[in-house]
Amino acid sequence: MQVLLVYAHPDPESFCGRLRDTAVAALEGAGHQVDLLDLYAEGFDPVLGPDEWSKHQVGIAALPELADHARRLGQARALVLVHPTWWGGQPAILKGWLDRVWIEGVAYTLPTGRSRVRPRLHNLRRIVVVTTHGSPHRMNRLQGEPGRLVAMRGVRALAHPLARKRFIAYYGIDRDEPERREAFVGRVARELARL
Amino acid sequence: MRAVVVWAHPSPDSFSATVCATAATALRRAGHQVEVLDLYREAFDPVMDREQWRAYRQEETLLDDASRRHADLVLRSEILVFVYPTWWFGLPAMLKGWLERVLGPGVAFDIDAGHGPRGRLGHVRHLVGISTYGSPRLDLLLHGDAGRRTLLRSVRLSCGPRCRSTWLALYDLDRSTAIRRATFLAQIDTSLGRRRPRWTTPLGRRRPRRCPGGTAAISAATETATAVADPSVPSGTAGD
Repeated sequence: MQVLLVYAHPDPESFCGRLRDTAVAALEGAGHQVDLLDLYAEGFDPVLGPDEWSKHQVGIAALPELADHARRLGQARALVLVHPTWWGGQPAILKGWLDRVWIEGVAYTLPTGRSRVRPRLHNLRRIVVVTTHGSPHRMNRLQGEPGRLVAMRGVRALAHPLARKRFIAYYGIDRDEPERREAFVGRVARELARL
Repeated sequence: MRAVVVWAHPSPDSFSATVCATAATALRRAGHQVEVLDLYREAFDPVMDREQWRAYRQEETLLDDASRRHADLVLRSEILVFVYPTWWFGLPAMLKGWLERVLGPGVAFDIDAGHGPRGRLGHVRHLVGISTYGSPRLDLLLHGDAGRRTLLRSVRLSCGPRCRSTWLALYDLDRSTAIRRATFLAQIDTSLGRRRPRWTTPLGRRRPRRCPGGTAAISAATETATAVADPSVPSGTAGD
């Protein structure tokens, strides 16, 4: 299966970097082709500028620098997002990737005069999020986990109607608990191996 | 009171610009000192880099000149207002990155490993979110309103227990009529422009005043009102 793995963390030596390597190894070990998109390494600019905002209706053809990402998204059968959770959600660089790449003509179509979008990413059969939270689980429950909503409902709604989704999250990384971290790495490897 | 309006929209000619100007004018009319942070025109960089992240792990926020000014403003303001368009059910990357880079540890919260972050924004009395949505409201009910949760729950938790929050939203913007947009602006104007707004009363939201005589007195009052309206005096003559 062709897998697009989008990774967003500024430090490759972080725990998230380790999760990315674990995920890639597990997926390749299971015979999948992994297309790694490292937003920080690419220096992706997440800011949707004024030109792009006014050209939003024109579609991706007007934005050649994003066409490559759109093509890779269109080829994938599975989407795996590996990122830390900051302020309850995706880091700005990943949110900006959604803002700029998942636009009309790529992720959905919007018939004229309608306000409800029609999904276009029917190629996506699996959506997996691997993420780490600084605060404990109960704190995140209180905050309502907005990032989980964006991925598990917003992104999921544009994929194939039968697409399966998985939210694999580590809570409380501010506490230093090596055993729990090891256990989580093992869980990520297991879950991604049977994607 | 001091108010800071954080605005994130790429175009200065958009409806969002009008919304931001309306909010700022209303707050000034109510006697507040207002500062508008226009993140796009200031070319704020929303991406947290490696150095900033490492400092974050050491529980401090690395601030450059621009973000230090923003952080100082937030720490001096009692009213925080966010104006933005909702993209992908959430905040635009520009505003999301502003939260990450400016409202970090040591500014908005302290990290307590056992209990999660402890808020430092106890001085904030009012948190206001104003957003425009392309989707109809039903879609937000189905998919969840992530942006609203980020501000009114995540950021709200960093503010003190006495902080009040207000949410003002215009859904289905692309198909909205001029009347709906004007109504929305008027709603912002009244909500933020009151000299002593409903949401600032120290004892909570004002309830409808109870009638001392109970229900009997209410029905009596209604009867009197109808009786006054009823008599054969032709309406529309005296006061109009």
